[in-house]
Amino acid sequence: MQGYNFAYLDETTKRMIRRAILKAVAIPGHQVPFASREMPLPYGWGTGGIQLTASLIGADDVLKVIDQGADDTTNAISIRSFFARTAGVRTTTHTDAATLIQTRHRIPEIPLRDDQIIVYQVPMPEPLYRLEPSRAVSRRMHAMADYGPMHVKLYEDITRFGRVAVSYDHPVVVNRRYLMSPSPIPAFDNPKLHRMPALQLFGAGREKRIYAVPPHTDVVSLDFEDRPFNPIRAPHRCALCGAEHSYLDEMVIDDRGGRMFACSDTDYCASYQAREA
Amino acid sequence: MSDELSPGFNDIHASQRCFRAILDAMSHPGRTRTLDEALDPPPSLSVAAACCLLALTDATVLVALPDDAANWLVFHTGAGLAPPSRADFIVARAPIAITNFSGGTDEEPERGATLLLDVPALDTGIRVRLSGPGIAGSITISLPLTTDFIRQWRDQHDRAPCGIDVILCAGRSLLAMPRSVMMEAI
Repeated sequence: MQGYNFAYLDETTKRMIRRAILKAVAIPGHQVPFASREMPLPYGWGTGGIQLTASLIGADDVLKVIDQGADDTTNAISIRSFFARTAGVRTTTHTDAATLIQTRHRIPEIPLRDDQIIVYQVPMPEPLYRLEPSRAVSRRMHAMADYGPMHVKLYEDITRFGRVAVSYDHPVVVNRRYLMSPSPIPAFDNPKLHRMPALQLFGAGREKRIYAVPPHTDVVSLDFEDRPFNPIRAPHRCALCGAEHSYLDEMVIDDRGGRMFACSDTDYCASYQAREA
Repeated sequence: MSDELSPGFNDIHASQRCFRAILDAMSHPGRTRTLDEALDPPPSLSVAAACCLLALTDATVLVALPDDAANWLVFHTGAGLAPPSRADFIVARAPIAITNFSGGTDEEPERGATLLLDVPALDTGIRVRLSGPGIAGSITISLPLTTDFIRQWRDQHDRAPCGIDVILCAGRSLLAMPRSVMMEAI
């Protein structure tokens, strides 16, 4: 594309982000500050993820972008065509064909490989945000691994609601050290974070933080011995492909209370349908 | 010292390719990556170390490196020069004392330095077992390190998350050891 650098960002910015990525990988789960740039889309639409992708992507990469598991929503299509235009890279909707996957709030159903990188868009990188409003204090808490308040929060959930009342963005501990927000993925996806063969990178544009989970790294969802982590999945089969183990979206389909459950991962659903046909 | 400086990277894609190789190495400690960029760096730098410096440094970082390579790097990237104790990137020709380098703070461990250890060959020296993030289980490889360096590495873990990260460079090959990796001589 004329008038822009390859993949939109200038090289100085990419270098700054690349240095932050390397430190993030070396300190799994630690939030590394970076000088987040203004991007040609608003905060909250994936500016952190886009800046990571722009710093990673090369001419040989094949990019997949998903939004809540779907390849065909506005956000996913826009980001995909953004990189198709500014970097001229190939794009795909097939998880296994992608070298680089940018995601908003889902992890694809099929296991990712060692030669793939997944980039998460993160609205709020600080897992202690709702417990401790001061960034200076929460940073100190991370330094001291002082995560007691988060356990108290989960305990209070159990005493008040009978269960841990978080169904997405369930906090995790990375490499037995840092408390980390997995971004607002459903708790259903949390087990996939654990020892994933692919490199996982997280970018928060507005909050100006980058963090990472290297391949094969321990990622444990916070829980208690007598109240083990127990993610929920709608007890249905996908209405489109019949899959029994995928994460389902619930959709209202008429004005008489009719509902349908279908795979959130559209690529998985389409390939499952093709296999069944 | 020669009056003429050899060229740096031809285009931005070289920088991207080198970064991805470094990232892959940093994500998989012990994995050797080979760079095939056309580069003729000053004699005191291997191609791999020169690629790392060209890809990662600019006027916002401080570098400590051999004198004959300093002009070359400053010309190409505008990096600032500093003594090893204050530098973000340090180039050394042999395993050295790492305790004097910046390891960051408990709140800002990302300020820890990156050591480019420029050695004659990678797959030689003492046998070590590596484990930790980036490694499924453990791997056993030979690394051109000293028992003293391995002891320092263990001491560094007592200061975690502070510490330095190492990129071992030899010729066109590199291999990374982020501070999170555990290393024991066997």
